[in-house]
Amino acid sequence: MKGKGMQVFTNRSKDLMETIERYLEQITAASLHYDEAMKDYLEGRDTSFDERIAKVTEIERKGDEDLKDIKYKLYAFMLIPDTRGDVYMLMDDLDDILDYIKRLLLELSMERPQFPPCIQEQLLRMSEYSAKAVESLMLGVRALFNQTKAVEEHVYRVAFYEREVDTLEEEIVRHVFSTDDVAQLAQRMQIRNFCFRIASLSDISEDIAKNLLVYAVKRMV
Amino acid sequence: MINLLFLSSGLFMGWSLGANDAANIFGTAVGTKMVSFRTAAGISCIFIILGAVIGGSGASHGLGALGAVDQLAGAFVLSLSAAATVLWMTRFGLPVSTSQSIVGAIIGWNIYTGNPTDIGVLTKIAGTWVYGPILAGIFAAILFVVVRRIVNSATIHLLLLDRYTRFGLIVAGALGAYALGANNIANVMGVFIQAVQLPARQFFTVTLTGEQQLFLFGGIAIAVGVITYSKRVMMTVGNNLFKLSPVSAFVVVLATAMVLLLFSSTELSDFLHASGLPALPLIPVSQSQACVGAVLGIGLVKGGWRTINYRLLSKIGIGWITTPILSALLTYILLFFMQNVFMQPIH
Repeated sequence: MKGKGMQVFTNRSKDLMETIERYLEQITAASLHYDEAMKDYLEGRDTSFDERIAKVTEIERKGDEDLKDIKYKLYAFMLIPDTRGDVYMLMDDLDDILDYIKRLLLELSMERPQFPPCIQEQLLRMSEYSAKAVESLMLGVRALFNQTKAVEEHVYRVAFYEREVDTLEEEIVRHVFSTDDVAQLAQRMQIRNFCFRIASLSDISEDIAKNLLVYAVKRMV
Repeated sequence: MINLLFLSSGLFMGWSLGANDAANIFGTAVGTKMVSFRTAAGISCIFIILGAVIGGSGASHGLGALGAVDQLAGAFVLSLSAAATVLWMTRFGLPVSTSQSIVGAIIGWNIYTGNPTDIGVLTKIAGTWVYGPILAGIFAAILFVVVRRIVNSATIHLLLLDRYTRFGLIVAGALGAYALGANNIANVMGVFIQAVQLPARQFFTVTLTGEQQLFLFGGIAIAVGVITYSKRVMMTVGNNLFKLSPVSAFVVVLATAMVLLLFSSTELSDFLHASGLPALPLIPVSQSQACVGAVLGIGLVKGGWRTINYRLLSKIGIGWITTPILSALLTYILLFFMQNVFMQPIH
């Protein structure tokens, strides 16, 4: 391979940096679209909701391409040999977030659950905190590359939002099963199911954040 | 032709040095694929030869103060004994030093020929076996603390840090190769200086003295060792013996190079003399043992006294005693054969 031995003098490092940055931006964009999509759905803006799904699908496709590119460049260019395995696994795990957001919105679009007004505000807060958990995770991932000492702070935020989401999930499910606003058991179960799925986004973020902390410790000299 | 035959043991010593010691310079870099073997070998060859020719005089004359071998056959025997001892000890898995082996061979020659061994010089030389690795450990510990602070505090992107580390490994490797050539060429060609008198020659725009021509041959022999055999050893060092991160490897190579240069730089020695300060003896120092000292220095910073490998240290200590003795003994026996069987003058 041309220039294999003298990577220090080529722009391969910069090339990979840009690809990783682009990939992280896709994930951040997807989480922002997800938050807005939830608002559109709960407020009945169906056209806007469908457009968001299309955007997220496109972002997920581009994210897959960038991920493939990152994986190839990490090993083909023999960059960061001592942390390459961690970066590889981290990028792979982040793809789960993209896939999950796309799947969640598609399931909402297909199943069209009816959420009563009494829980809409809490649902909006739950999806907002899930999006914030993803956002804090992305800040943590960027800190891993640039400022390792700041990773812990962002991981703490992810854990905080995850706990808030869990609290809201419990409140919503308890209310749904005790109120007369939701009469049908099938509807109650569907709402419970979707609450679980919305909350799972923050759970995935927290799982990745725990690994991120380990990678940060390993990165320190 | 006969001169070349007698020089062959020195050239073999050079080949052996290149095959084994280059791995201490670029082992981690090549083993972790930060630097390709081709780049490592190219840089090693160039800078080893430069170091040998430009800076090899100091340590060679330092060794000459112990015993000036004035016949080619005698020099051949010394070099052969030293090389054989190194090979033999390596088979036992001991981290052997070519410097200690050559010193033992010179003492063996002194005993055989009846030349007195200057105890003061010998003490100075033996002292470097102890404080060479200690000095490397101190340098490595200080450098590591500084580098660690910079790397952990600075907001350098991981990929940029990787780039800087590769560059650092190449620069440190070049310095390490130069230091190896400057310091250890004495082990390869030091014993031949008195015995081989070559006229000064012009190579393009550069005039090389007879001594420098000898160092050039020795440097080329080391370079051949690097190209032909060091890759295997590098892969072992990089993956097995010293499991170092690239940043730690940079510190180890730099610290080792500093120690080797300290013990071979005539300029520094003159400066210290002129300033009324005690100068370090210009003696070939074991690069492998300096490496061990540097790695231990980093280990102490990272994890304290419990990280010290006492078993390895005791092996090195055993080597300090057994290597010179074995080499002296073998030299004595071979000198007898050379003088009485092959009828060659050895003094």
